[in-house]
Amino acid sequence: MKKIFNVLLGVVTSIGGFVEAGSISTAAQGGAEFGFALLWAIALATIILAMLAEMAGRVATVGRRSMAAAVRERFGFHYQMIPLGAELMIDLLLLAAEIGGVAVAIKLLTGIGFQWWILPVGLAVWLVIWFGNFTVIEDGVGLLGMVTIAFVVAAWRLQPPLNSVATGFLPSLPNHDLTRYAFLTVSIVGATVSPYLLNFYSSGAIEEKWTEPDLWINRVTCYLGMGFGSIVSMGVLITAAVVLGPLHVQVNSYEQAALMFVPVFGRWAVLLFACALGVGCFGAAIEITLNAGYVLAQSFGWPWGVDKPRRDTARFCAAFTLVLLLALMVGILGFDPLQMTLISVALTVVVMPLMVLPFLVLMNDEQYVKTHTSGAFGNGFLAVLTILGALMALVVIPLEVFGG
Amino acid sequence: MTHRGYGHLCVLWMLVCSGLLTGCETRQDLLDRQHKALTSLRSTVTSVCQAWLDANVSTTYARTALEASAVLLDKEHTKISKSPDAVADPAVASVSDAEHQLARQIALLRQALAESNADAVRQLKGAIEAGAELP
Repeated sequence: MKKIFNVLLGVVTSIGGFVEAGSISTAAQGGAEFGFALLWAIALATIILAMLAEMAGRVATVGRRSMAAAVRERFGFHYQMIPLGAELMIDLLLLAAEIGGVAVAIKLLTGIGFQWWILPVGLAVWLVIWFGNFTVIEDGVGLLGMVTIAFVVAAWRLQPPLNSVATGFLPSLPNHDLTRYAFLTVSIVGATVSPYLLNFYSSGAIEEKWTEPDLWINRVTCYLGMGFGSIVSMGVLITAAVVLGPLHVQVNSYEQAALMFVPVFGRWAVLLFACALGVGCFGAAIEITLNAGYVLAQSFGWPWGVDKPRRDTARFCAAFTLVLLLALMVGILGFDPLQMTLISVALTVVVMPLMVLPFLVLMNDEQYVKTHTSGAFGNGFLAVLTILGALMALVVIPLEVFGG
Repeated sequence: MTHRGYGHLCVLWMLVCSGLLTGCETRQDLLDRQHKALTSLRSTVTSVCQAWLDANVSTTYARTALEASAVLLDKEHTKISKSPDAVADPAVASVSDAEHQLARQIALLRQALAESNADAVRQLKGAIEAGAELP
């Protein structure tokens, strides 16, 4: 009974933890500019994320290694330096963008410039990690993140034409701004399939001491949790499409995005949007900070774990603290958080092949997954994803130039 | 391929991208983007004003949203200013004038919001809506 409760909690917290700066901004831009036409991109990205997370969880559950540790062990320290460097760079930018997202959310309510909130938000992130344990961090942030369901409620209450919504799930070409459409498609995939999510998820499986009999929990959490979570992203897109699309408002700031709630929630609109944005970004900031510590500790073979005494994991703690400090410095420089989000999302796409390729090897190595190796379908999926990732990596920079 | 070979490929790719970044936007692309950005910002400003007049959003949010719109408008205007040739084009110059006008209207709106002057906000909102279609 307790296990089923934990699984349900895991699914619920996955919903709450799905939406953050990248998914809100890309879905809102896509909806405002192309109506429901990009719903298929969110669905596709969610399937990719769920499958990769399930595989990362399988390696952690069966092989007792996180993705970073497994890649280091299987491919060697020199190879691991490449994905490590790429992941840290993206984590740094994303972290600055997420902290900026929380700061902008507070600015929406107080009117005080977002730069003033960067340091307090960073301190709050650090305090939660320092004094919290993994369960508190994951479940607490996930449950608070349920406020993002406001996007689904908004989409529901706006009563969008169901035929048009259903058509949005079929990939199609737009009749205007093809480059922009392609850029937003790639951005939605990049915002959803973040490398930090995969390593954070596999590290979490080890923190929670999952064993082989828990593989079904891994599957349910990935497919159900992330599947339901994507409904929130789709809620953002549909709400933006119905409210902002007809007004021809392009979402180039969070202040513009907040307008999408006004017809539905009236006086509560800005408060609800700020809470959804703030809580979503705060949760993501905690996960990214922790992941930076995880990936560094696992790559260099240091002791790690948020549930262990801090004195036993001193280098892990120093690593996540240092990355958080660097992100705060980037944030204080005053870059627009939304623009920084889009840049980090594009970089995520650039490094995607580097992240996906090791899966092909690890998921077929019995040293890591014993009898749970990938079948023809899993291997086919990874092969297609590697090629797709390489193609997207090649086109994302020109697309950023012309369509971003 | 050697590490050096991969390095050369990366440098070549970055050069191609830089070339695309600097040289390939046509006057028409610039004009289209400016039209869209201006329409979007006008619509944002009038929506914020309407929400404030309906008491759906606070003065704090309305001022913050207008401030953000002014920053975005300034960024768009800088793109035109960077290309003196483009300003010589009557169509681009017309957009540039419209941007100037909207910037002034946003400044007046912020002042009206600070004074909680609903009549002035209504009047300015009407003026922005009336000029919504670009020549």
